Amino acid sequence: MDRAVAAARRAFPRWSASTREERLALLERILEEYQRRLPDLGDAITAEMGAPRGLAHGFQVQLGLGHLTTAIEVLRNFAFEEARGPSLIVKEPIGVCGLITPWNWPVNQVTVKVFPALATGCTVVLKPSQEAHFSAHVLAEIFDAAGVPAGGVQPGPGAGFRGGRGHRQPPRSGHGLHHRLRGGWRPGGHRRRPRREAGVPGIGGQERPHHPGRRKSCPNTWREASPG
Amino acid sequence: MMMNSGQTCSAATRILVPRARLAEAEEAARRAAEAIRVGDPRGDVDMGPVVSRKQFETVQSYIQKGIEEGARLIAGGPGRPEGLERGYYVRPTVFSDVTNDMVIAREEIFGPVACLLAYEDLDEAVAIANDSEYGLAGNVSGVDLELARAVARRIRAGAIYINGGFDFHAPFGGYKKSGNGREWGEYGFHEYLEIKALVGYNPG
Repeated sequence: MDRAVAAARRAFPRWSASTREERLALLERILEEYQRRLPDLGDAITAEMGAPRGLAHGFQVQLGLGHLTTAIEVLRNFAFEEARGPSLIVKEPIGVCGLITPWNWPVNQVTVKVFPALATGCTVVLKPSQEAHFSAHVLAEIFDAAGVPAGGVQPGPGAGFRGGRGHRQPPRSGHGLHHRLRGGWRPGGHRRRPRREAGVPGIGGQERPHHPGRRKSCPNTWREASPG
Repeated sequence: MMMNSGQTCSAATRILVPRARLAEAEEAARRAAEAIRVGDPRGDVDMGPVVSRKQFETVQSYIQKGIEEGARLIAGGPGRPEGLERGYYVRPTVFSDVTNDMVIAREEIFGPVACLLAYEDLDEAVAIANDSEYGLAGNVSGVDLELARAVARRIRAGAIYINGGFDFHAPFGGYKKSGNGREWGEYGFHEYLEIKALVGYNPG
């Protein structure tokens, strides 16, 4: 988790300074790739949490698509700046976002957070539910193929408490982690370091996962995020 | 509310109906619940299992609790649907004669379990709706749109869906102990932004 956060921090200065057009272009590429992978997303949802085929390939994946096209629409006209008398009010990306998502509508829960985060210039450390993270693997492949900047999206799947606890590490320096605590947050208040970082593959940049053997538990192969 | 095996944070689990039409609502709910085909999610079914053993046991314990508290079963009940001997399948269940002090009305079951609560008039309906620690979402249905709008305004929740409305641009999040912040659409963007004032940027 520390490595995921570090990668997301490294990517933040550049992505937070990206233009509206660059962000729109990225979201459009994600849209293209998302549409191509619809069948894989639907299958993953059925496998991970038991939604019937009709629902998984229907509303479950359509929700993600809807959040994506909505994010594109909103971003086109979003007012990042507002002049008020002698002042200019500017809206700036909050930083590296630690996103923890629940299992019930897995693609919806990830996409409704990740797309606005990317659209506003944030980078993300994503921790999908340990109960249902197959579709998050497919989403990570989609983000990768679309060219989300290295460190942009860092899924840490199936790490259970290790991943969850990792999110509670206080930021060491620089940007604070922006916690979006909803749904699958587990109480406990543990602050100790994760025992190991095996649950955080796909770390981005030039790095390699420390424990590629853990991929066996995943239905899809992780790929490195494109260098950004 | 049975969609996704009832595992939806905004699922309409408390269904408030006028007492004079309770029997009619019970019949409609029973028919709807019994029409749901439950089974292997890879096949042609309406409802698969719930997500895990833990969730299955939680939902089963709520169904048992509803029976113990004196709610009346209209459809479904404890255990698995007929013909399904294994898997975390839950019977689509409807309770009637539910009162708002019952555990099944106050806590989130997060399974395919609907509760029918009767009201005498709209003031009582609104009072029941608002008598909750939570306030994520609600629904108002009615042929009189003006009246539906008025009732929707009185409910303390982050989103009220009028006659099944749906909008990707509408913010989603809760009042009270439900969902902090807002997601969906433009409001979802603000959660990821800091606000900075550049004072004197335009000197007069």
